[in-house]
Amino acid sequence: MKNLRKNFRDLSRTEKQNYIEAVKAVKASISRTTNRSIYDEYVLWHSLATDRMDSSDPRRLRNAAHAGPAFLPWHRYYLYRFERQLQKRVPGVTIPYWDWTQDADDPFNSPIWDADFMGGNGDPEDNNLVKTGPFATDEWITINIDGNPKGGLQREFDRFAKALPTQTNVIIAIAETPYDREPWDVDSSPSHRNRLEGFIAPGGTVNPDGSFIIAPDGSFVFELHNQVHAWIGGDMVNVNVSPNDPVFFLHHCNVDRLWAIWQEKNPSQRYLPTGGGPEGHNLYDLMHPWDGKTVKLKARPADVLDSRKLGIYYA
Amino acid sequence: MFSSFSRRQLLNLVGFVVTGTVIAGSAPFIGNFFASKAQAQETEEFVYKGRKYRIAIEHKSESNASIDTTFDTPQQLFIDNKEIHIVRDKNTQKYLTPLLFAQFDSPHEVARMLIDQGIKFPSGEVKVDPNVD
Repeated sequence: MKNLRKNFRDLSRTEKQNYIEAVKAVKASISRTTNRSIYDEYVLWHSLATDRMDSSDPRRLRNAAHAGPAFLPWHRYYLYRFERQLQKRVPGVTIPYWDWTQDADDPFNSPIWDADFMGGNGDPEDNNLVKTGPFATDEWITINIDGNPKGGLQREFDRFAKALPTQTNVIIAIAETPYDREPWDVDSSPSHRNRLEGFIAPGGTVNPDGSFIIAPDGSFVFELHNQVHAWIGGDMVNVNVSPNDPVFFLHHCNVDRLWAIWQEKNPSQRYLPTGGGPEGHNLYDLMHPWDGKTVKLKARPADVLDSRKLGIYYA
Repeated sequence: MFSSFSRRQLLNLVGFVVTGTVIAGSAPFIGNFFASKAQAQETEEFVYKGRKYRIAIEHKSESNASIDTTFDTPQQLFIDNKEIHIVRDKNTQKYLTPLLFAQFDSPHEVARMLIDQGIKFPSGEVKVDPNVD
């Protein structure tokens, strides 16, 4: 089956409504085992992966889904499963992508925040709770990392990052090879994975002494994937439960699209490491929680390298 | 007067000085603290929006100092007695945690952000439905 993922700007009004309806239907579906929403089960998958700290990383920044090579395949598989959940409720619906570079000049006024789609910024006078759109506080309850209700969705635009990524950032990421390299973490450079994840400063690598290049304002630079999480703020800043915000899926759909473009433009470049890397990040390692035990599903980076084999196409 | 003490002995003494500090809300309290033989720790407890968090400052001896050229870990943060992993970028002095897609000027900012978000930690690993696909 071919699933064509479109730029959200190209969705018709009906397609937007169908997408929102599908997301809300997943949220309304309840697991008989945990008595928890299926959507929230997905939030907890992300949380469990984030909690799976890698003890071989002395800084403990790398976990099963972030700051390591499996970052991109983990999220590709995650979106693939989520899209199938959406399609069980609304056949034919696919996850749209948000090309944030199109909003870099005016991120506050992006149509993604329209009241008929993702809704807007949080209310700074009320703990940054989102009050507009289909995921406003009276319509959408987020969960905590303990699986219990946490309250309304929070957003806080522009607090932790002052801009969205630009086309220049993307061009650099698409040109960067190899896929990844030792030490397979936030220091890896050059590394397409680390660049796209957002731990490398624009236009450069780490300094000769191993320290990061610093932005003009003195801050450590986040870019691309990390930068977008930081710019949106609120739940999107909370790594464990960031999928509480439905815009998570549109954001990661774009990250996955950029990885697919990189794969197409660099056919000689393969996933790394094939072995000898951190547990859960090697080509044939099972990715947590899809280990056949925590959940019955099993997935390895090798299973998702070819997005077209998964039926994923980008318009 | 401390001339006869080694640096480590002195730091161990300092580690037993406990500070109770209140940022907002309830009455002052004396927090827990600890100090191992290998390193001294000075612990302060704080309350923010009714929730306690604790910051332990490590005084590492030179032999225990980190060889990481990018990050160090001069302080430890605890919320609900769970350690929140934080590292400090040596150049920017900004703090990072694997829990947040952001950087902060201090462990206090990390704690307050997590508390603002209502974060609560499970006592063990949360069980998910194994049949969800």
